[in-house]
Amino acid sequence: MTDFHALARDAVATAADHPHDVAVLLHAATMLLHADDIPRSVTFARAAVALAPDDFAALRTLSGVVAASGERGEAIELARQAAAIAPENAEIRLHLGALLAADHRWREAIDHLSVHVTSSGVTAVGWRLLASSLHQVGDTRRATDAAREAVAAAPESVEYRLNLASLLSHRALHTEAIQEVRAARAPDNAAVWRVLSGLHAALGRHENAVLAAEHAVALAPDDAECRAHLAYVTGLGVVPEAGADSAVWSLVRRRALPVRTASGLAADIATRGRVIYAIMLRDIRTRFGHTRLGYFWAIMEPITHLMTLGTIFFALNHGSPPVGDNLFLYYITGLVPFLMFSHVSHDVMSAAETNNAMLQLPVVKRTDIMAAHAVRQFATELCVGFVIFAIAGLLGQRGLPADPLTAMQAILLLWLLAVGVGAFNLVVVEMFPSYETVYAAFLRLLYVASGIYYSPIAMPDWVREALAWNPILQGIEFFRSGFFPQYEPHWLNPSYLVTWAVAAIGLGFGLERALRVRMVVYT
Amino acid sequence: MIVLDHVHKAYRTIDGVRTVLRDVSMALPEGRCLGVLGANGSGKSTLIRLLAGTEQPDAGGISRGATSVSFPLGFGGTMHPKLSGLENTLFLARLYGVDERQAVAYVEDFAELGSYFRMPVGSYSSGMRARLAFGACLAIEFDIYLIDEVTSVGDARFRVKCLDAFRQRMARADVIMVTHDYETMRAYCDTGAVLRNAELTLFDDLEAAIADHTRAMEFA
Repeated sequence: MTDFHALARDAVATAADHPHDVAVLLHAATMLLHADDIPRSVTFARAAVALAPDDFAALRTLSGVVAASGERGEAIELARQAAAIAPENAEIRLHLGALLAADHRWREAIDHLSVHVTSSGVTAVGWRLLASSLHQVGDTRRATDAAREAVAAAPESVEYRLNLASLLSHRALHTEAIQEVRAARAPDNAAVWRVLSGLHAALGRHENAVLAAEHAVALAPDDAECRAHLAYVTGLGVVPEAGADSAVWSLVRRRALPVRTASGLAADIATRGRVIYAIMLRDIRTRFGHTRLGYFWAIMEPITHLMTLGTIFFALNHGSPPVGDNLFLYYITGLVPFLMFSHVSHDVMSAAETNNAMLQLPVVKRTDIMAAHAVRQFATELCVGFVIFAIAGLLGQRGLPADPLTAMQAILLLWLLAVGVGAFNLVVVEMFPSYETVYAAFLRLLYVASGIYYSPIAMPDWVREALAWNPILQGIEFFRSGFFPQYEPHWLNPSYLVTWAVAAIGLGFGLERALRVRMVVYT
Repeated sequence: MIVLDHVHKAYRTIDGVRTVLRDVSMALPEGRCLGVLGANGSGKSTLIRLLAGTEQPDAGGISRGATSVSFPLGFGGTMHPKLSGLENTLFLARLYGVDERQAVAYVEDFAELGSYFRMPVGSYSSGMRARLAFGACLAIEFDIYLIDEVTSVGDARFRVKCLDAFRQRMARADVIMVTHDYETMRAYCDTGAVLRNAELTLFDDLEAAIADHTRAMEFA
């Protein structure tokens, strides 16, 4: 720390040696001022001004030390003389402005401070003083602008921000004022909390006002202003809340919940069954409308589809069927299982996008939706199959499978394969939404590669061997082997189809389980 | 009782990864009603969905034991717009295995939808939708009701009706609530939690939680 007493002693000694050197005298005056020896400081400064009455530095120094001695009137007069000598000096304008403001001569202060803030030596404190002076003469708008400039020049100053906030508040810009207080980022400053409390009170937020005031008192327990403010805002809060409901709005409750026993596997299975059933009923309602006829059309639609396709192919091809005695029936035995596969795999996959709202219900798992789709579509396809083959039977064709057990096995295996593929698709389509188009194209390829309109028997060996790798063709041929008597194609391999079905189910649901967390539930 | 065990949850957004919960372990108080406070975007709704089980944590686990937890109430998305209020109620009753006829009778009386009860939910106003959701949720006996922003629920009279219904239910169930309306929260809850900077802090006293949150919000 600088020892101003020692420096002052040295400066006084030097001044004694050079009693006619203005600079030396002013230096002594300045050092004495720093050493708090104001009367002697004034003596040296007066000596300097006496030597050089038109010297700016001498007048400025004397004004400063005279002001420190409490003679504000004389200090102002000296500062005026100095300002007249150097009108461009920014510092003297600030000094003079501050003196005039202290003397409550606001308008004169504004004149000089206005010069100060337009000069190159503009300071934050200059803006701050100008803001106060303007506010005092009632020009709150220009005062706010000046306060804003002060904050811009010294953004770290909490006091400047509080000043700006209070000016904004005067203009009823409370919200802006609160932002300004928050921008001060001084949570440990009691004044900040007091101002904030006042702003909240002005906005009618009594609760927040009281909280902030309490916080201010906690930070500065001895601050009388803070305590007075708290008393004030607490008084605001006792205004009774309107309405007869107030008695209802209080509730304090302490109690213990009864202990429950954990549910077991059986309860889990019951829950899953209940959920899947509820989803199926809801799907039928939303998809097929509110009339019973709605579901009738849901069955009729694929039937007409099958009839049309079968009739067209039948009309184009008059040759004898590869198996059985009716080409139309041969087509149908291929189309029904294929469309079942196609619809089920597509429907299980559609659990991805259509039912996100249902997934907002925590009791519903994605696998429940998949299962519900799979079961509902299977039931629909079975109805379609029964109707189709009943029509065939009524027309005098074979309507019942020769070996119902084998036919049913084939349909079940194809269904399982469809569910597995659907589950796999669901995961892939969640990751790559464009996959849906890819799968649709792939299904069309399978449409021609699954032996619906031809028999592999008519194909060259290498084509047949290649086609035999298609599990859907295997499923269709397996179904036909159960439908037509004595149809046992040598390329048929039911265990190959079983492997596919098991693998697809395992892979599809395994992937769903593994990636479940990553699949977003949109809200 | 809901127990959070080292739960971590984060989202990828355009601005990078936003963490909602960072390694949070705690047992939520039982027999109390909890109000969750937090700034906008701090992840209060995500927390509710995690507690409900509609979303899974990235790491850690949430165990509910034998406690039945409701779906997040106040979220209209659980109702199918093509189905009527009646059909949506039936769906929820079937889903949670409660008596369908009783549930329908309860909701019809509680939600005061009149003939709209038999019309598609898509034709409802937001207030009607919220009333249906409140009724349907109350028709099912849960151990814990999760309420996400109930301020949208109709007029003052209906709010009081909801509160009365919940007060009766609170004799045997808890409420976990997210709302910006402190008055509503005070009416329902007696304990508080603050979600801030991916940390969840429990306060035994709701007022302490509100004070802490208000203080933090001043300098958010």
